[in-house]
Amino acid sequence: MIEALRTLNQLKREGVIKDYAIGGGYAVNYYLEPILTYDLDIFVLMTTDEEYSALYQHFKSRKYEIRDVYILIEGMPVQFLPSFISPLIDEAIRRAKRIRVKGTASKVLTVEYLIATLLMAFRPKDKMVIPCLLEQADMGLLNEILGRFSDEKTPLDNRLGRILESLQ
Amino acid sequence: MRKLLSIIDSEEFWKVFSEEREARRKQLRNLPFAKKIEIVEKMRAAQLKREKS
Repeated sequence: MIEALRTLNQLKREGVIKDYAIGGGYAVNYYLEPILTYDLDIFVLMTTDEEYSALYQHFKSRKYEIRDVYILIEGMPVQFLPSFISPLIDEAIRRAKRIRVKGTASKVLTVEYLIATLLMAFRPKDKMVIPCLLEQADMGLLNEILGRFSDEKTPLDNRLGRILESLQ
Repeated sequence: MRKLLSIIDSEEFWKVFSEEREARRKQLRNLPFAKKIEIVEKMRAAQLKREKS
């Protein structure tokens, strides 16, 4: 995984991607006890489909193996989630926390934005970890984020409410 | 663990079990990220081995 992060940092230096942050299962692992996760979800700052295609072309031209949506980087299946799919993801990347992993610089979503993205996906496995992540979250900040990004299609605040009710 | 094995009362057992589990989870949460990554990679390798056999 650390090798994958080094590759991502190289992509930043080459200008192939503007910025990125770790989300999904590895971000959950950053905050909680280790949980089995098979792939590395990388939220990547980009504004167009063309940039996204160019990213996959970059890997293809360098003979990286691509399986479905995953690019295998040093054996790690990496899924790139572009920021243009949601303004929440864009903001989450821009406000991500800088970290170092064995000397390698990287960024991980803050716990509030991580919860928000898990509320977007809202799969059973996301619902399971959200209560534990809430223990580390600034609830005022989280509610402010959810308030701005909730809508009829993705009622993030409503979903959080349902989780909190289930904990009663 | 030794403490758990010596408890006869089931209510006391589950109380101590929960406390020890929570303490262990807290310990794991506080590990450096690099260490957590190592643990996940070992878990993944073990799972892939089980799936192949």
